[in-house]
Amino acid sequence: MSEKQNQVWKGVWAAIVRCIWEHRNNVIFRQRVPDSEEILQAAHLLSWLWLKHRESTFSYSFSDWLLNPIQCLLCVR
Amino acid sequence: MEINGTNHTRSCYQSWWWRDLVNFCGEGEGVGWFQQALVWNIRSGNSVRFWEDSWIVDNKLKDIYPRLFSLSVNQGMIVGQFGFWDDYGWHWNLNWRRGRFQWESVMEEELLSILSTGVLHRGSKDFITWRGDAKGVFSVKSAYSILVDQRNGSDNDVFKLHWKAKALPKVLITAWRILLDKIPTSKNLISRGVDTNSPLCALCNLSEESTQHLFMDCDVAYRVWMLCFRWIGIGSSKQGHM
Repeated sequence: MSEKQNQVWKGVWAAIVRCIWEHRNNVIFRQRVPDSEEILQAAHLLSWLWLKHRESTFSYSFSDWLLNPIQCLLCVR
Repeated sequence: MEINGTNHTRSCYQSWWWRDLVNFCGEGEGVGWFQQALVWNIRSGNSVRFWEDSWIVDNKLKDIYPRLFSLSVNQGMIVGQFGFWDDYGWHWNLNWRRGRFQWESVMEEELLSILSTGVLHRGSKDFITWRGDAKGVFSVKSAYSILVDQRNGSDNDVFKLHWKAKALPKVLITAWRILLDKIPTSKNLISRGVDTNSPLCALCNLSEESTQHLFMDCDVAYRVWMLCFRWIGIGSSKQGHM
């Protein structure tokens, strides 16, 4: 895995911990129900939005990202 | 400020404040970061102990040649007492308790060749310069740099890489605070005397809400990671092991 691809994965990791934290705050302050799937979906969207708009070599749709993240990642240069 | 080799033995004259400072800087034995950042510049050899201070090489000679040190009759004496001046200049002269075995002679010759790189200067005093600065002058700023480089070298690299990760700055900042455990979980708030509704994890209501629990051990968080692994195709939810 290239350095850049490695940094993309770290970005995904950061998005997940961020979404766990936001979800935790929503549970406390907005009476939401704890939901692991909702957390991961939010992280999918957050990481995809970043890649879509900041990485010129990343041209995949959100559904591509959901279905085959490894393939999407390998094309990031 | 005068620091010389014999100061270690005069600790009863030091103030408590000074002693604490020296302990903090040098950990008392001349092996700490502060002592190591000092360089002795030998002139007449009037201040530096031959065996017990670091002066001609980075380490103390007694540590490099413990055997020769134990044979020396000049333990504790200063460099200027390890030789003599004549019309031609300085001559090293080491005195031993007994004759050397052959393997000890080899070490002695090695030591003498190290010594031959050092030149004494008559009539001027030994002085100290500071390694952290090109001109050898101490400054708080350069001392700070030395400490930051030494103590957190590896951590710093981790965090430098962290900022290159592909995510929004606000996301990276949150992740960074989590790595440092500087995020206001219930446990951290309570430890700072903040009143929270509950010390328990907001997601599972079963355990204390520590950073480790909230992002790793909690059932809800754990499930997030398992779903993530399934998403990128590593293992399955059954064999989940962080």
